[in-house]
Amino acid sequence: MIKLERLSKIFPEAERPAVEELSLEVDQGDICVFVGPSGCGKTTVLKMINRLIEPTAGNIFIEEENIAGTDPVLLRRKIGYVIQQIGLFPHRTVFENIALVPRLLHWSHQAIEERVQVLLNLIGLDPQEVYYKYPGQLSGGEMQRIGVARALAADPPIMLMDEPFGAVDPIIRHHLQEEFLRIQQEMKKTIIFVTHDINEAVKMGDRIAIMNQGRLVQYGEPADILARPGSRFVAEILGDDRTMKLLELVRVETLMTPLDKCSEKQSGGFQDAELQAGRESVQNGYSWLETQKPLKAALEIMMRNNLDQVAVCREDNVVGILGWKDITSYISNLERGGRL
Amino acid sequence: MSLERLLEALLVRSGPHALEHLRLVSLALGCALAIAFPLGVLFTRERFRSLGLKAMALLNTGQAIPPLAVIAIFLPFWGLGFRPAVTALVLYSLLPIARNTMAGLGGVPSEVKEAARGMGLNGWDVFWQVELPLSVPVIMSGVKTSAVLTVGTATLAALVGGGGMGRVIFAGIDMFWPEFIIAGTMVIGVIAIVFDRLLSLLEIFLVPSHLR
Ligand SMILES: Nc1ncnc2c1ncn2[C@@H]1O[C@H](COP(=O)(O)OP(=O)(O)OP(=O)(O)O)[C@@H](O)[C@H]1O
Ligand SMILES: [Mg+2]
Repeated sequence: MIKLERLSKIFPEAERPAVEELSLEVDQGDICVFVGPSGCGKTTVLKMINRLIEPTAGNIFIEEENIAGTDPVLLRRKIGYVIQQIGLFPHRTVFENIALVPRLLHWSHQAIEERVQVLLNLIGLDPQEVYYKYPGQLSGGEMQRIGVARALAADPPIMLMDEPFGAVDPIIRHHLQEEFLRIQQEMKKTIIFVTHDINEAVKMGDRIAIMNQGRLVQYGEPADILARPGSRFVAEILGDDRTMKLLELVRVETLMTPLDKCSEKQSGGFQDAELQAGRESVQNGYSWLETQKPLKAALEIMMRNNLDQVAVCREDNVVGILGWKDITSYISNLERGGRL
Repeated sequence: MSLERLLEALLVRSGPHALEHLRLVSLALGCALAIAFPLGVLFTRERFRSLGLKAMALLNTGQAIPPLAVIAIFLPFWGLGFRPAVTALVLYSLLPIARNTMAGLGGVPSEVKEAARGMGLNGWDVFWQVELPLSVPVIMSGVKTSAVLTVGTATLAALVGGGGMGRVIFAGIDMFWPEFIIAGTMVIGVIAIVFDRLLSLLEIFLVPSHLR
């Protein structure tokens, strides 16, 4: 758990605080995403957490321990840091860059080799190809990925990631996001993630912290923030398709009416026999999609086929029905302050 | 001009003085490095940065003082000899080394240093593993500049009894023997080239292979 308590930073000779009275908590195993305009203090917050910058006021607790009393060097070895400007060591090979912290921690050579291989595969780079290359021989996106691998190297329980995927193309970015979320399921690290991309924030965040001019303006779960932005500023950051973003977050299974609870009328044309027969029959005349798909996909199918409901399948069996009405009432319910 | 005299100057007279010259230059350069490098490091540390700028200004001004004056200034205190000559040469060769050390260390990208610190390297490791390897090329070019400069300036050591190739050249001037002047200059040129080559060799060992 990371807890920031009325954290402020005023740089010498600055007109206004870079960070002002910022308080928030990030739970163990959560990804907290910081979003906000350039210069709002995101990087400053990260650097205060690994003590590259000392706060002017306020406290930071990691696992209940005030970090002001810890040895900064030891603290940093427990915190993986992906720096915004990448900062690879130009005189070291890719391997040596990634191996840096494990070497500091005196891992065996074999353990380090294995770890580097795993990480390179994870970030989608061919170990054979990049192992002995120097950063200057890599593209910007490749360097950035090495930066992520380097921060993950010694498997630190906490990660601070400052725009870690900013320089990679959308396809690789998507791949990295998916991959990262996948490994996070096992790693359960506590992560603070900075991005300019609100879509990335919504996708990656268990929580989103929206900052403006050094202040925290809204903090909450992505769905809550999308449904109920607290100010015009937040609404602007979310963009004018925030409801669509919301629909991307929720899976159809959470909103569908399970088959056994469907009334005759609701299930409409889905005859019992046909439903049991699985998706083949559904395909003959009705549209369907899988339980894991986002609401947005259901909406897409409904609109394309001019339907007001779709069947929801799991492993070839229809398990429920999702109607247009379910979606709209869910949204209005959320906007009124209700929960799932 | 007589070939005989030129050969005499080159083969008979130059030998011992060339060795003296080498000794002067190596000693001066060694001391200058031992002083200027730590100073350059110190002045690029966060705490002493402002002091560093002032020291730099001072050293820059110092460089404008003619070498002859620097060499002569110790005369009243230490008299004639090898020691005052070396001291003057040390002073004179400090600047290029200090300046390049500061420029080299200052030129290490701050994000690289920050990443290193952020990963949990302590100050010592950041210096030896990151800052120094990245700035060695610049520092070495300062050492080379200083070496070539000192080889030339060391000629003046002869004026204060410090010996060296200056003896041959000034003998030539006194006797109106241009052969001696030419021979002395040639030998000094060779010494300068030798220093430059030797330092280049050293550079190959010190500079990370990829940065060359
Ligand atoms: N070392 C420093 N000295 C003085 N001012 C600083 C320093 N670092 C940052 N600032 C100022 O603090 C404010 C916040 O900077 P910060 O780097 O945290 O912004 P950011 O949210 O990370 O922006 P970006 O999205 O562009 O990276 C800015 O106004 C910046 O000019
Ligand atoms: Mg930043």
